[in-house]
Amino acid sequence: MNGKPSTFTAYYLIKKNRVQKKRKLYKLALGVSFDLTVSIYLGLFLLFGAFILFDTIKQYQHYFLEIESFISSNIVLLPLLFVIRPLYLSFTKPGILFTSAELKLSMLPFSRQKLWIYCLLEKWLKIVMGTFSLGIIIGLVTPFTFNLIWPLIILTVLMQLLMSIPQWYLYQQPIIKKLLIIFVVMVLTGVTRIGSLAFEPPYLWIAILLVVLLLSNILIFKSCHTHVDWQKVIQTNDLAVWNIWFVNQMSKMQIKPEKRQGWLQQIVKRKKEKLPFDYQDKTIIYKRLWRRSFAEEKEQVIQTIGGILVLLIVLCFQAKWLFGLGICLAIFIFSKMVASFFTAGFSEKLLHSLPWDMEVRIKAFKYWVNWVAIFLGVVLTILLLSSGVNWLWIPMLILLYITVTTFYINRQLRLRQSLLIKENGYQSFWEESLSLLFFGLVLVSIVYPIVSVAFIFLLLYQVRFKK
Amino acid sequence: MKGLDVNSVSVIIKEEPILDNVSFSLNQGSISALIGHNGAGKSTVMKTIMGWQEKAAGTIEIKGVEQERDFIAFKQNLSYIPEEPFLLSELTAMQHFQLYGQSYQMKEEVLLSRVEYYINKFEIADKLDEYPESLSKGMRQKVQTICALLPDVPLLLIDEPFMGLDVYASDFLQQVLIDKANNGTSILLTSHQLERVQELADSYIMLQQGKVVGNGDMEDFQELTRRFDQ
Repeated sequence: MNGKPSTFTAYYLIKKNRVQKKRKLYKLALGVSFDLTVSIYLGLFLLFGAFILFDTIKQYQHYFLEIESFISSNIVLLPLLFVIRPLYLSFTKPGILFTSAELKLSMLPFSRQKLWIYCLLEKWLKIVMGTFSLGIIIGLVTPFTFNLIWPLIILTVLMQLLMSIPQWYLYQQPIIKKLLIIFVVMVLTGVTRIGSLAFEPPYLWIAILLVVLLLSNILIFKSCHTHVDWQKVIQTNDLAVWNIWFVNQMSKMQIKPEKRQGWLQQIVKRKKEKLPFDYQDKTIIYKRLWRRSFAEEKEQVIQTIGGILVLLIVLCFQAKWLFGLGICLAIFIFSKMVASFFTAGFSEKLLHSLPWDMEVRIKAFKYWVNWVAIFLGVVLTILLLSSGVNWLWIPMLILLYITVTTFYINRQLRLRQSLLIKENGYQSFWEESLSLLFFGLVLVSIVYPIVSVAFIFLLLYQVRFKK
Repeated sequence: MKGLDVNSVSVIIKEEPILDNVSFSLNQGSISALIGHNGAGKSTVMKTIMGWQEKAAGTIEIKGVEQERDFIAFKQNLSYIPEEPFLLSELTAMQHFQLYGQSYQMKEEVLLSRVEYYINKFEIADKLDEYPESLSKGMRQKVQTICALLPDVPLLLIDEPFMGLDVYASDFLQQVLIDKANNGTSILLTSHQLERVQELADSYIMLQQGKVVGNGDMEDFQELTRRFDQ
């Protein structure tokens, strides 16, 4: 063979195959979720949906014009957003998608620097094409005028192009240096902005910012390939490339994100946390492990708690029986969420392989659950106070909700526990009936608060059960 | 009473039989090697004993405690050294040892003296307060190995015991395993390092395509079967 192999050809080959593989994955995922009939219905639905949306947008034309005039008068503030976002992202994402494939290519006779530049150019190309396409679609579909859209497109493109290299550079820096740089940048940006208020035209400061960013890009460009933790970069980027939400949902396979080096995590890992535990207090280790387990599932935790809050707030101001229904659903959803997180906490191989002291694990688990329950309880109390329920009944109602929640969570945990330890499912017709009865009482509790006295019965039952 | 009794265990994954009527037992204080080509089912046997893999049929007992009947007591009877360390990134090496000590209900003074012994022998005394991310793969393997060696259990399962360990650590581990076996622990290990296995184990169980195709004394072991009969 003659001549040097072309880096671009190798890069292009990887990209082409990546696109083909992704297309295949999407095809497979689509095959699982849609057949011909569903596709036809969905197509028609989308078509009608688009017409309805277009019509609705036209009806609200005046709102769009108001938004347009607001954005136009504040457009000089927009670059701040484009500066802050990549700075924030630099804690977890390098921004330039240099993956393990490119790293492996760089171990063959291909230049790593060239490969990195191709990744950067690809990102820029995507920014330009994506922003222009989106801008033009918005311009054609919505009442926004192109007098606003063109400057927005150009500003968005320029700022994103100029922040790509700084984000990559910052990602590589140690946490303290990174925080320091960000602090200095923010102060300088603020000072420039305030200073620019004195100048006419106001766009001058945008021009200054762009020039400063351009110079920074030139300055840091050379250091972009030194002191790079390539392993960390490719771990993050591989996940960004291959963790495709739609495919994950359809295949029911989750690509577990690598632990992120979030800024909070980096600061919080204090020296104190490295010290051995108090061996006599068995719950300490498990409290730490459950906290980690919740943190890993934080999106679901936030979604569920958010859902419960929305449910309670929306139904609180409706008819009384609807508020009761909302509380009923909230207790049910919360208990199911708690039970499902309990099982998930055993999925870690090391924790699964150890003998389980269930009492200790449950105690540590409930420590966190109780904090969430207290928060929801406080919100519920406020809602009860503002919903017009006689305040004299509120303590009794709260006691009813606490006992029902505790009872149902304990029952759910016992069920999950029996599955984990391979026992036959814990079943009790009596407890099932009791759950139904008390959910019924919660349902009518806002209309007939007197039913809340029944909490005493459930409380006594639980005390007896514990004994 | 047998140290481990695997009786007619079958495992089916996606309608494909992975283990087919596998039966074998380990005497108390014996070291047995689970031998087979890649994909023979060795890891599945380990996973099934650990309870990670559901069985389609069969029973598994450790010292008379059946897996299905009392899973927690069953787990209390075994510890496991995996081929790849699976340490938790939130705990330091010492905190891992404490977690194992508490889980196996070890007294604190016993735990501390054993930790002291093993960390010196494995030469990781200076790494006790380190998180797994800041340890090399070999160090992580040492931490994981120590974790499993800490409790006195009737059964020790080991997947590729010498993988990632340096020669001194491997020699020390080999000696520890022999001592443990002399004290009554049954050991089931898988390894591709046949020479070392032949030195260590006193019996073997050979798997091929998910079936036991041979077992006996290690000295009678002749050669590994191929993936497909030739």
